Amino acid sequence: MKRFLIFLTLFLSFSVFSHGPSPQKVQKEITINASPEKVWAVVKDFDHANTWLPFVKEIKVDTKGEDKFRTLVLNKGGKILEKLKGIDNESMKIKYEIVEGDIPVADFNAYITVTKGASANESKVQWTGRFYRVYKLNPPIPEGQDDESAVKAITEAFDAGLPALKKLLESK
Amino acid sequence: MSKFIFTLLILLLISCQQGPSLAIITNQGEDTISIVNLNNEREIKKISSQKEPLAVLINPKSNIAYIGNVKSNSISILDLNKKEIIENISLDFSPLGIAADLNFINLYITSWYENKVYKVDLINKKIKKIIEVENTPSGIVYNKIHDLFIIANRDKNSIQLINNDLVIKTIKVGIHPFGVETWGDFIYVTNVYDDTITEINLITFNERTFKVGSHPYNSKRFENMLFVTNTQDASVSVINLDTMTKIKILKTSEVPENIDIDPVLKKIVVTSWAENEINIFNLNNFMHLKTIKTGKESRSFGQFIMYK
Repeated sequence: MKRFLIFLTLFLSFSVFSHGPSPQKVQKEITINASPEKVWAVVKDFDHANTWLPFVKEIKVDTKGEDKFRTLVLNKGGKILEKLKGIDNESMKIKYEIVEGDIPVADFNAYITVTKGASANESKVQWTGRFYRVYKLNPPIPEGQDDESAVKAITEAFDAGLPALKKLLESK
Repeated sequence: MSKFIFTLLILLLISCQQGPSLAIITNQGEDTISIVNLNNEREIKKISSQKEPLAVLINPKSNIAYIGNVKSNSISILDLNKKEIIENISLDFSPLGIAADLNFINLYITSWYENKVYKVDLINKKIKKIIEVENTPSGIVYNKIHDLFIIANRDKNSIQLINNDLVIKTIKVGIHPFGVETWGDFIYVTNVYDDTITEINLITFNERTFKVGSHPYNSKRFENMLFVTNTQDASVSVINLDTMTKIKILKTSEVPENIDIDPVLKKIVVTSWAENEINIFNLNNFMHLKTIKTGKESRSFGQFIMYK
């Protein structure tokens, strides 16, 4: 009976997790009572995102050739190294990726866009992340390296960042 | 006069039978499939699917699309005349890429985690053979001229050629190969991590490598041009294979993943995973024709256009 239960448990866990890793998406949006130009000026400032990201204590900027990197020093300890992928002033879009860091995601790429809101003094900011879980191989998946952990970490970051951006811009 | 009406009726009947060209779009994030009419560029139906539809392969002779559902561990058979799923084939693995042999007698399906390619008999709907391959097999295509299945093994940086259900050759390519395309005597492998395409000649096994955009995902050849989706650049690189030059960059919606071409309507279709839509371009002049909202996380990994 015990053997059967062990077999059943293993079978069920394999059945549940046997699909390949799929890219995960977190997309969040917020409306800010400030003009798109004013919002974009803050959002595109890759070097100083610590002015609005509440979980970042400090940012260190580095360049290698034509590539620009920033290291986010986190309040809770740990670091995240990110690479700037592009800034498009015309469409008000900034793209970056995580190179490495203390966050349970892999192949993380993101973009933030600023668009016009309902009035001239209103903007919409949308933040989209595409990423995979850390562990891409055969189950069992180690704790904290699954899809849920990856989605949770990014959701928490976006959910903390966007209201803080709104607060900063609306208090200016 | 009656002859004229009779001819008109015949023409009408023929056009009804032919129907429009269709793009079959898997929306992995919402378990649906969008069927898009490429003649008038409109979604004509959205149907519910099993869990997390990803890959598509079309049999134009039988008007059937095979859909791989990665979380249901199944293949759905979508009848494109009825525009309904008529059967689901249960598998004991998660299907990633799908290809078929010459007359669609068998499907060959990659299983990422198990390092295997499964041969599934479409008559009995059963697994007929399991072929051991290298790590994380992803994209798969069938080259009918050489009777070869070609698979990309992402974590081994290799492709493998399968003939008569045996791996007959392994070739090292770029870093993290994922999508594979074949045309005539050539293979095109998309190397995601080093932003390149490897072209391999199946007669001489000569290779050429060329740079494309950031994080390319898949490619499609048409005549002397190769079209490559660059997921992190929101673009498609158009490469002239005679001169090995980049002749055009098509701006797409964010995270363009897969691409297919309707050679009759002369249209290019690109799926956008991030923006839940498809972009349609003119194949002759590369102009953007239309963007159509499809569904959450539109992907369509494989050959997804049925042209008439």
